[in-house]
Amino acid sequence: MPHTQFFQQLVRTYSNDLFRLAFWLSGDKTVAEDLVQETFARAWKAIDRLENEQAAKAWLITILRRENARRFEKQQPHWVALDSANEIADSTPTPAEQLEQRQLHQAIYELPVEFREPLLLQVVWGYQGDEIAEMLDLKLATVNTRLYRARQQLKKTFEAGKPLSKGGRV
Amino acid sequence: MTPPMDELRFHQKLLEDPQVLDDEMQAYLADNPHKQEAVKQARKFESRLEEAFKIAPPEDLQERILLRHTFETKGETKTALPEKCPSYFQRGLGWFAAAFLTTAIGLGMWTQVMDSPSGHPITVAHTENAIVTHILEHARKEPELLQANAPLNESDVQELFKFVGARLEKPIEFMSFAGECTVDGQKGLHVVLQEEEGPVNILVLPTMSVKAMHVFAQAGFKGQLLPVKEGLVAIVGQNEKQLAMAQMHFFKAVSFDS
Repeated sequence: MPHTQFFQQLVRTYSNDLFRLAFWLSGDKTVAEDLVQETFARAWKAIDRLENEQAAKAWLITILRRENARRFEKQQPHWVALDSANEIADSTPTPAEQLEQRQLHQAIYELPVEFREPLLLQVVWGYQGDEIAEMLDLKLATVNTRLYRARQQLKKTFEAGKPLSKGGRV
Repeated sequence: MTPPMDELRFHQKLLEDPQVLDDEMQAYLADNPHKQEAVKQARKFESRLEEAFKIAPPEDLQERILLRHTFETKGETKTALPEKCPSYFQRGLGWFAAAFLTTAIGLGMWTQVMDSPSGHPITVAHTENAIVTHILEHARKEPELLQANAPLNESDVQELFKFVGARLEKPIEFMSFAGECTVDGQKGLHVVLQEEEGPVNILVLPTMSVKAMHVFAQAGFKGQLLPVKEGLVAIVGQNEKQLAMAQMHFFKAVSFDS
């Protein structure tokens, strides 16, 4: 059955990055998994209309964002994510790297979602500014401004949270 | 004519996307080679950001998605329900579903500590995980469980219910499977009902308990844990309507009197 094989291919190719997107949007790994499950459930129902993998990729992201928005309407998300993000990190970094990662997670957590979302699409999914603009229904200039402000804020927050170097002053 | 890039504009573009140096930025760097350091630092920070975003998804996420897909597509192809449906199907569903939802909302979801037979406290979340994992394992290893109208031997089924301290007063409507199971090391009874929107799994676990009804949502499933005698009944499906109907069908036919 070609539809089933195509569906399985989509799951294998995109489920991990969809989970990451869902996690950083929702702030909760259980909610993130539910969002991903729901996204693929909806994808299966519309599998006839999906022509190719590239189109499916953008479509999956759109469904997930809509599901998250729907969930957001019902309840404000509360971030239980920070410890979860630190617990389920991919690699096993050194203590110094762990501390830096915690600080960066904190900085990401403090980003407004309208800055966080385009950044996720660019960094995690590799989309260009014009593609992000189309997905988020924004002007390219707006997307670029948000990407700039996101990185600017992240650097500021991250730098502010770093431990002082030896003999340094505030 | 566009004015040449200045430092401010260079930094702005760098922070929009540190990985891309367009012609304008390349020209600026050619005139200001010391700004290569800014590019280096921006890309170093970008690597950290990529790592920070790259959290590991749960183990077996892909497998759970595919198993749920298998579960749902088998539900789509199930055989038709018997023609003769009891009248409460039409009448009772509305208030029953409302009553269930009201109870569920009223009770909410919280983490309880339960007692295991060993005496060590375990959480409701642990039990939920064990139950969902068990159902997914069954779907993977024994997909015939999800088939409608699998043959059932009546006397065997009676014995199964007796084993978990229950009595089967009459046949459970839409039951397609009943068998022994082991969840988190504890023996129990696994029943599958072919409800209108797909199969619903019911687990009777006489050695696990909850203090009060508990609802949960996990891995795309919705579930209830219901205290019965000293044990619990877990009902797991796709949506609240399924759970309400399965609960009604099950408890109409099964009693847990001592």
